[in-house]
Amino acid sequence: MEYQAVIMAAGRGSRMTDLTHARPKCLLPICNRPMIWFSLKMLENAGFEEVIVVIHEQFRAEVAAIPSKYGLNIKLDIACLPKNEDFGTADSLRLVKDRIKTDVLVISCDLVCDIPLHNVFDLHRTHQSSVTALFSQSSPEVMSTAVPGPKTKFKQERDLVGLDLQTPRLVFLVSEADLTSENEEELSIRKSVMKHFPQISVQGNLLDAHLYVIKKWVCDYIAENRSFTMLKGEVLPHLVRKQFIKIQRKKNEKELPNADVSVVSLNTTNRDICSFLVDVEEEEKIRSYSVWNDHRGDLRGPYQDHNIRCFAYVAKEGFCLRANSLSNYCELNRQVIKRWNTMFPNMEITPPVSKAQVGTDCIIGETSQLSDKCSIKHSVIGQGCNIGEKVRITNCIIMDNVTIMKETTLQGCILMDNSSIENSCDLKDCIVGHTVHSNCKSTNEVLVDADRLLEI
Amino acid sequence: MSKSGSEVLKQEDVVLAVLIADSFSIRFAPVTDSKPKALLPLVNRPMIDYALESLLLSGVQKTFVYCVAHADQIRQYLKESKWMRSVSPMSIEVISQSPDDCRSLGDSLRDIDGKSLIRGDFILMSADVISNVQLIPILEEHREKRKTDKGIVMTHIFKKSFPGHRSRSAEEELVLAINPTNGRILNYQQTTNLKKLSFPLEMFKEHGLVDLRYDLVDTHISICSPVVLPLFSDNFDYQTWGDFVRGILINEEILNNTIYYHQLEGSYAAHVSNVPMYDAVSKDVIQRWAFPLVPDLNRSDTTPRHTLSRHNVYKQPGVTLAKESVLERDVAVGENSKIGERTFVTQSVIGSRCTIGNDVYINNAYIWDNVNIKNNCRIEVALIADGAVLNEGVEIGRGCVIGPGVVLAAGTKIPDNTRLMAHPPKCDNDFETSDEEEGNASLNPYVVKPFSADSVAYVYQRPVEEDSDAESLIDELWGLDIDEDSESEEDEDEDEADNDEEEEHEEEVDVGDLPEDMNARSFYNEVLESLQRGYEEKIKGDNLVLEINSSKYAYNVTMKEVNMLVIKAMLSLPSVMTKAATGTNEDWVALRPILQHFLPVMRNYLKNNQSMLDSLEALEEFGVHNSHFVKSICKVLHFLYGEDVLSEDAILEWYTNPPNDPSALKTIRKTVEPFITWLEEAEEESSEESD
Repeated sequence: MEYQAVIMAAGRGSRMTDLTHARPKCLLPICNRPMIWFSLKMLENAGFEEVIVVIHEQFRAEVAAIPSKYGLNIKLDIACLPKNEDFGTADSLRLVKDRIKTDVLVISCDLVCDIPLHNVFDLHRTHQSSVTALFSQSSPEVMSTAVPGPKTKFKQERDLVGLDLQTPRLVFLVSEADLTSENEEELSIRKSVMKHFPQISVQGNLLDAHLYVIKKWVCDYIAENRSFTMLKGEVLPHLVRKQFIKIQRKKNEKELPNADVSVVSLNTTNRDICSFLVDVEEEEKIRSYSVWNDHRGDLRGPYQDHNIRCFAYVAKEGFCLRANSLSNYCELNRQVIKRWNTMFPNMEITPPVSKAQVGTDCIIGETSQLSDKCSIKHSVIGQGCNIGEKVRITNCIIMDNVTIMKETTLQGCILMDNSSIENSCDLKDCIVGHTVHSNCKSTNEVLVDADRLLEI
Repeated sequence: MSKSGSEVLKQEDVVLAVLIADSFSIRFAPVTDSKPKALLPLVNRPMIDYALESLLLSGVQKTFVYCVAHADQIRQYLKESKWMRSVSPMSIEVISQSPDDCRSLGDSLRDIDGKSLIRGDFILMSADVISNVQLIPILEEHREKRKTDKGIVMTHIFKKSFPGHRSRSAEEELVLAINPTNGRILNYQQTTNLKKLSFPLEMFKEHGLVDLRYDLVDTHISICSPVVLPLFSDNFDYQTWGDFVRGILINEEILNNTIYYHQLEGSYAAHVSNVPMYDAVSKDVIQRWAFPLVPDLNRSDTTPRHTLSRHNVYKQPGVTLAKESVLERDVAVGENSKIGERTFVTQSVIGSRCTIGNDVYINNAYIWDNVNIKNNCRIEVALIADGAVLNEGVEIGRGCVIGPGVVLAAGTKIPDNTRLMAHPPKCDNDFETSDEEEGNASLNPYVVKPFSADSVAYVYQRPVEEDSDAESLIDELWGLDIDEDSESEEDEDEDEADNDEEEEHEEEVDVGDLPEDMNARSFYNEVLESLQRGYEEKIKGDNLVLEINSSKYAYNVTMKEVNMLVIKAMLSLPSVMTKAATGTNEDWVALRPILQHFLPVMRNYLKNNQSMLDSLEALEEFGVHNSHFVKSICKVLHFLYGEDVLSEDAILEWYTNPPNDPSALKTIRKTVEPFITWLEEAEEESSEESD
């Protein structure tokens, strides 16, 4: 086994709380399948037979049932977090550190992508990369800008990714949010870095897929270094910066702490990153004997003689989107419907037999009942739904067991499990979680039962 | 190129070039005191010849040569050369201006604008550029771009050359931010003296894709739209090309002007900006990188062609080589020069009519015309100008420039990086005699110092410019092993980077229990800064208190935090200032004057029992995280007690309270034990006394 895979599925979905109070983020449906199914499917397609899933313990049973329910052969090794505790991705990785024996692929459960993963692994393998990250260049054209729920100013999180033009090296990585929060108007780069990498391409429109291939020693480092909580926000920028340090080889450092470091501070300080590196000397020897070089223009050895190396795989084509916000979640639903047949061949979706007008870009659960005179366009309808006469549904996501009575018009709405809508309502861009009474007209609202919120 | 038919071409159709025959710098002084830079020989040919040749080869039809310093000499030279003959396919017009009226590139372009000579696109080039670039395609490209971008004012030409390459001029290092999709320049920075490069965030937000290029070299060739000239006229502060680019980029949104870059592929261009670059370019010409601008294809009619033999050895007619003399490799020798017996020459250029004696060693030297070098001289990495005489056994150190007409007595040894001239510098009217940047020079009189008794040589001292330190340093790197230098510098850089990070860490770890609260953290940093400054500049305590109080309000921290953080900041001051955390008594030695200085500040904050307890708590926390401090904690307590900053009651109360951190019990409490017992005893005594 060369690589292990970990799915981080304990995210709270803090940018889509209106949806996640009823179902955890990883189980929110995308085209009638739980979000995590897409990650599992992608790993299965990439050849993984087993995957570690980090999840909150109350959802264990539900997640464990997914492979059998949807016909996946992948084996789940579920690691549970205590209920209601927030763990960052690095914390989660620390939690499963004993199960990690090799280099590891870490993905987040909200990723839907059809980029062939072997490319990322190839890059990682070829360059003995410490961390390889996947970025996607092509952002699918956004089909609709309207987002259900109250209008909020949502800013897409962007990163500034600095890539070497000659090699796929990741030279720097800063998130725009970090820079603006610190009120810095400038991005500064050391001249010594530019000497090593005289051609840097700074890309501001790449999508970080939050998919990382991480070397085993880096996992150990993260496990040891408790100050890290997030992979993306902390570990990755840290490693990218550490690429340029010189390795000081003090072999005894591990055993003999310096005399003037007190016992107390030793417990709080962490071991130097270089002491985690494995096989450095051997690798340096190989590099010095080899005639191969990854760059030209100077007399330095391959990889600029760096032992810590971060690489980025930038996918030029292929679909890649993360459901990390409400708007992305809606977009993802629309996009996946469009691409279903190319992304998942041999998995035809058969709509239930009915005389209703159903557009081609719709997915409807088999056990749902559609009346004859309703029309459905660009929408997803879950299982066990009941849709009345003269109902018009456009651009909606309707989860399971929803009842919609006659003569209702829905546009751009999300209807949560077990919600129902009575006669002649007209809802636009709403999120519905309970019963909406007759003749209701709303735009951009969250219609969720307050009592039920408390129950949960 | 030359169209048949004598129809008068419209000016727009003629390919125009402006050649600025002055570099507005004193990099070549004292050589340029008597001769314009454009006429200095580069591999036995005046530099302006190369520039005109490359314009001609590109198909330029009309060139304005703009001369400032020694304009008469350039005019004279051109008059006698082939360039001004009627058969020349390129017509040349010489414009001259007195050095008083024109002191920069900006001035000269303003002058050209005033004369309204140019109405179409033109090529702007410096006369000290050696290039074999075909400029017409780039001009076409420039015109093509105008179809999509009306605001294009300039396409500047860059050559790729990685850090460490000899064709990079250390003085002109630059970083460009460009838009790779259309080649627009978004940001331009001179990086010579910088350690960190900063780019505005806006730029990255606006353009999704930005390339940062540190591997480019400015060739000093640009294709300009006619609007460039009025732009210079409108902005009197534009002096150099860099000013212009920065100005255009800053006013981009208002004027909507844009600058593009062009990267040379496979052709050669270099700018002879200083002596090390002169060295590099000469080698490039000898090693045929600038083909067809090579010594054996010399089309000049003033100097004959060289013949090429193996190992890039070029000889003009009439060269006499005595027996056992060696021209090893990359050597050019001018006509009628004589080289004596057993003389060894490598990687050098020797001008016309030179006489070189026996057993001379010449390595990496540039010897111009009519130089007389006697036996047993040793020259390594040096430039020797016209008519110099080196008597027997002269040794010239690395990086020297020997001015025209200098005579060196037998056996003289010239130290490295010396510049000599034949005439004593004139203080009164060096305005006229010195070179191009006289303005500055007149303010800083040269130091008159004859070099040695029998020689005709005076040390040239560069007038001190405001920002010359670094520049002259770089200039003096000539002949030194630059590679090694830059490498070590780099290592320093890296070390520094390392340290920086470590420092960050240390700070985080050392101070330990800093509240997680960002406010308190920034407050602490601010206090630390104020205190450091206060200590270094000996600012009065009251003012510091004011400063700290204003920080307190700015960051909204509680009084308890203020007390604790101020104390912590004071304690960490010695290690912050010296960056060394040494153990033992030295700590106390360093700390004592600091505490002494800040006594008024402490008195201000530690007024009641609670605040004293806070400060003691801070002391303890600091001790927990800085083991070396533990040893001096007793002394600090004693000192503060002695100065009545801390009251006895507070100390005793603190001692009886359990410590926040259990590990403090073993270390700190133990160390202070003797002091506490002493205190208690003293108290008993005093109470006994009072009884």
